[in-house]
Amino acid sequence: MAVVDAGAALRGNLVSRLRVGNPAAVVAFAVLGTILTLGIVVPFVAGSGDVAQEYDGLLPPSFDHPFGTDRFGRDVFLRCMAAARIDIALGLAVAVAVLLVGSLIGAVSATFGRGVDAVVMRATDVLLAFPGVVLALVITASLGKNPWYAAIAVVIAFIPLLVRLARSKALEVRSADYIAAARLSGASTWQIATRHVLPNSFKYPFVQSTLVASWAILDFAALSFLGVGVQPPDAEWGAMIAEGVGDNLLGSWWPSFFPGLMILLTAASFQVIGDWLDRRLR
Amino acid sequence: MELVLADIEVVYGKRTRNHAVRGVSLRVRRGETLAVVGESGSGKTTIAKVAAGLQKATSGTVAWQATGDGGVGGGPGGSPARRQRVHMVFQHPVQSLDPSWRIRRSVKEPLRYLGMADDEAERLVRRLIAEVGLDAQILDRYPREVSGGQAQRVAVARALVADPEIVILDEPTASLDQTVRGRILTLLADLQVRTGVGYLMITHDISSVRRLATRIAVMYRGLIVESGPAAAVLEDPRHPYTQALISAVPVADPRVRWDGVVALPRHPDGTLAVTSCPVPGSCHEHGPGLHEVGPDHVAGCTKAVDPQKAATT
Repeated sequence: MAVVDAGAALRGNLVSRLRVGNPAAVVAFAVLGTILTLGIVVPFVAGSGDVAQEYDGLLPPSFDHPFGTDRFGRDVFLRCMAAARIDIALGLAVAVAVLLVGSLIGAVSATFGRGVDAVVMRATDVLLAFPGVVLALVITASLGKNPWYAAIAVVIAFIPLLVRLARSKALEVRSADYIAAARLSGASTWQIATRHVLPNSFKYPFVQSTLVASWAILDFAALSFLGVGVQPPDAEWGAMIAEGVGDNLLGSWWPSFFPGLMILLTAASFQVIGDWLDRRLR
Repeated sequence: MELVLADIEVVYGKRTRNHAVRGVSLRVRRGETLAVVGESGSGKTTIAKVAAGLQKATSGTVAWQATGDGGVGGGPGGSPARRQRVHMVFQHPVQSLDPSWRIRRSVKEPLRYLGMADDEAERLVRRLIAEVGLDAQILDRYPREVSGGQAQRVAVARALVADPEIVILDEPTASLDQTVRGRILTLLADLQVRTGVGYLMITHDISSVRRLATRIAVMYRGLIVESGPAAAVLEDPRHPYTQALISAVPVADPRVRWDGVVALPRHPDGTLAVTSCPVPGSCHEHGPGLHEVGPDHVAGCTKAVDPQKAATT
């Protein structure tokens, strides 16, 4: 509930602030919007065209097949767009999950003080000791090959980052007079953490979460590239790159180039948006 | 009910052992205002936090004593579930309100935790907001949308909404304009008459002490050096520090000065730094202690018993 309040407060500001004009952010929103729209519309129109092997293999980009076809005779454009839905949805879902869980844990950790804080901080230390992709790879490998597990693994890999950020902000908030006032009003420590500390330290993790979206897409693509995420024949950018790598060596660059381009555009857009939010909300 | 602090000691830092408060006892009753005055660093804010329960004392006790006037936990008129013991009004009013909460929610918060139904709480909040002289429209605003004076009125409304025994006022007017200051003090006095709340007022502002205090405790370096009925302490201050403090306001007697009040050297046993005391005596040899100098009036100076000598040196 408290989170919703903060969200509402942010929203009013954001809409008016985007209008002020930041060319990079406008381009980023446009790119992301286009990819997402095509990702939703194209597979809907094309049906199961992304997995159908109905064309000749490895046709170069042309009017009929703007991104060419892969070695199995599937249209790379259709596959890229089918994958867009999955990858962007995953990036956003991971960002939201990491934001909610991370900032809650951070706020609780800061508010409850010593004991709880020490446990949470040592736990994040352990998780942060591994690079995110490696951690996600270990988790996915032990859970099994499944895109859901890969998504969960990415969430777990990024939570410590947000916990740290949320906690450092929450520590500042915790010493504010209005926290003392809430305590005197009869709020329990849990109520203080969730109703006062969390909403007031939410802004910074919120900004960071757009960057998490971009990193999550990269990591998820990496996991699929390594074969533990989305499984063939389903389309996913990282998995498509993996499938196309061999063809690349033989001169057919398009099956791996276009999904790579998609990852680049999407991740870069999220970064630019995060950067813009950061400057706007500061 | 009476809030009783006994032998409170607060030490900051395990290594440095910085004594912020060195054995302070005081009591605040419903209906009266105890003003704790002293300069920055005298330990008065620490005392406020300890009294509010926001900070633990290193040693000493904070207790509530029944006085038979119908307070929390019994007596006529005291419905226990509806009442709070203590709330606080802070020095910086805007910072004492959660910036992401509307004012309505902040004022209502104490009632929510007491389990009051929302319509009843809403009625009470509106009544309190009217009593502190604000329009009910302000309830829908955020703290950043109101002035400092308005925010302090809101803070007063929140402090009183759950009918507490004692409200701690920590420099309640220090960050306000001169004109607003007077109005807030008048408001606090009115509300005390109407609700019978007790105030523990922490301040360095002698003029607000004159307006509100029934009793005064003067703190210096973590000790109470003088305490007594407001009139007695203001009209007949016995401790040289009290005299200096009162003389710091423009109307005071220019003969009485305590030079270098701020830069006094620290005396190892916690007594006053006698080297700069205008009334050097045996204070530093066996500690000052508190001497009875009038009815209910004590001062911690060996020379305090002789007002003439203290005042004219």
